[in-house]
Amino acid sequence: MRIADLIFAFLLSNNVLFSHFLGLSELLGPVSFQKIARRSLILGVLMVFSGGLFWGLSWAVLQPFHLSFLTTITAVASLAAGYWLYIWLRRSTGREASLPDPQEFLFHTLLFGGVLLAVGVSRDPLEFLAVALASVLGYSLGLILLHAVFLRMARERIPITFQGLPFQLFTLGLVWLVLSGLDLRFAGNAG
Amino acid sequence: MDRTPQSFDSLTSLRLHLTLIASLSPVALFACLSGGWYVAFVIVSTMSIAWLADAVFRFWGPRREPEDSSALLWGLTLALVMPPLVPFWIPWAGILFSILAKGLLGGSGASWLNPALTAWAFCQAGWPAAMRPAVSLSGASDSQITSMLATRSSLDQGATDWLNGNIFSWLNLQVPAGYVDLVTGVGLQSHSWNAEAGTFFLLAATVFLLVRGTIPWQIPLFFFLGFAVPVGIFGGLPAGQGLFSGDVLFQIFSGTFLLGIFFLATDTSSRPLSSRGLTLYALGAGVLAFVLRTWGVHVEGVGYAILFMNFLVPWMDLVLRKKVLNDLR
Repeated sequence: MRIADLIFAFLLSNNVLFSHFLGLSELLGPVSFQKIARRSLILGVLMVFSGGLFWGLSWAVLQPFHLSFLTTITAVASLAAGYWLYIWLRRSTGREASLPDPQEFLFHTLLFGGVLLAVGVSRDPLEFLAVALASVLGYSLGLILLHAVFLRMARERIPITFQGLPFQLFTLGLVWLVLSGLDLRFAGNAG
Repeated sequence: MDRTPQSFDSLTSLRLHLTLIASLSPVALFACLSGGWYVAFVIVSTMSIAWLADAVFRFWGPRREPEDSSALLWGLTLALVMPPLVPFWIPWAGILFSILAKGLLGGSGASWLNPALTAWAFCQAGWPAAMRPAVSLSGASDSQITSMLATRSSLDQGATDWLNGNIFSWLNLQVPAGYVDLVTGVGLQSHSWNAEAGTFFLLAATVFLLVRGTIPWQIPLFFFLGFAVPVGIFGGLPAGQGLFSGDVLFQIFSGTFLLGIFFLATDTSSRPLSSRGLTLYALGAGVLAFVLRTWGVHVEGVGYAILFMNFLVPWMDLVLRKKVLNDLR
């Protein structure tokens, strides 16, 4: 039941994009479904790698040697390791054009910093896997949602005086209005 | 305005909205009989405010749009998803926000989100305490359900005995006590939402709409399956009752579920176009409604589930569209 709680919490309401970084959605921009799927897959692998590294360091080094004050630095270092692994793979495979831009990818990995810290809290490796995968799944859902919003924004007839920033802010307000209803009762305990 | 040569369907948007208003009228009437003059005032005033605001926006707004009575329908639907004792100005504020959102985001026939539910979500976010009903039927445990249905009317007692003795005994099944009251809305003295008072009339109206083909059958069917199957399997878990112990009947007939699957999710401007899109939309809304009703912080999750799926509609239309010859998109 605890695993199911974690999956739902990180999929819907504890997702970093949904709850904390919604205002930055303009930076994400409109993308195609294929790009969303590819990006989600890469992020999934990265999350499992970085999360696993952080989880291992946390329980094998930080906790036994009473180095908990290094938790945040270790989380950032784990993310950096995942990021550099991605850069290396991108160059070595020679498919730079088809994979996400490194700067864009760095922005996406930074969004997962909070999730990574939450991953390190639990000793159970199954819980860490559930949190990592549900976060990526929720993040992909967020990208699809924003993709759909951008499609709407592009095709509707918007009054001239309302175009631009007022329209984007109003749209984000509507998105928040709907997402505020997705809060779950156990979300506060899951992380 | 004369009909154009390519117009082949007699169902105009005006006629569609009037049909839906007529279908919901018995429900509204029964809600008034159950809730008294105050509920009647809330329903009539919300519809009037909606119609007036829409008329003003159509006259002064950037686009000149024909009158199609959609605002009256939204006003009526919004009043039906309100608790009976809600302060009257809250649905007024909600419907004004919704009319503004409709005018700025595409205009008539191009609503991003169901307008009545947008207004409802606005009210939920702005005045959560006032929007919380006195008696919460949604997300209740078995013991709470039993206590709610304890005060049975004579109609419930007679009908339940007759059904169990003459029909369900052949199937080796028993209708639990209090459920006839729940369906007819007769015995429950304090309803969570106005629409709950007229559940029987709501069902009768939907049969009429489905037979006439006014609403697509995929949405009610797959919304029901997406909701009822998880409720039956996992619905008892929050109360510690184990798997396959969820109360499907209660969850379906309580809250705004029936109004949601037949009238709110089927809104023409905020639902997908393709058959596969409708199926995915309804299934997603059903499952999400189950999750939010079972574990959500709000009393009712059906509205939020529909609104969330409304956002994904353009994406569904794009990804699940039927490929045609010379499709260059």
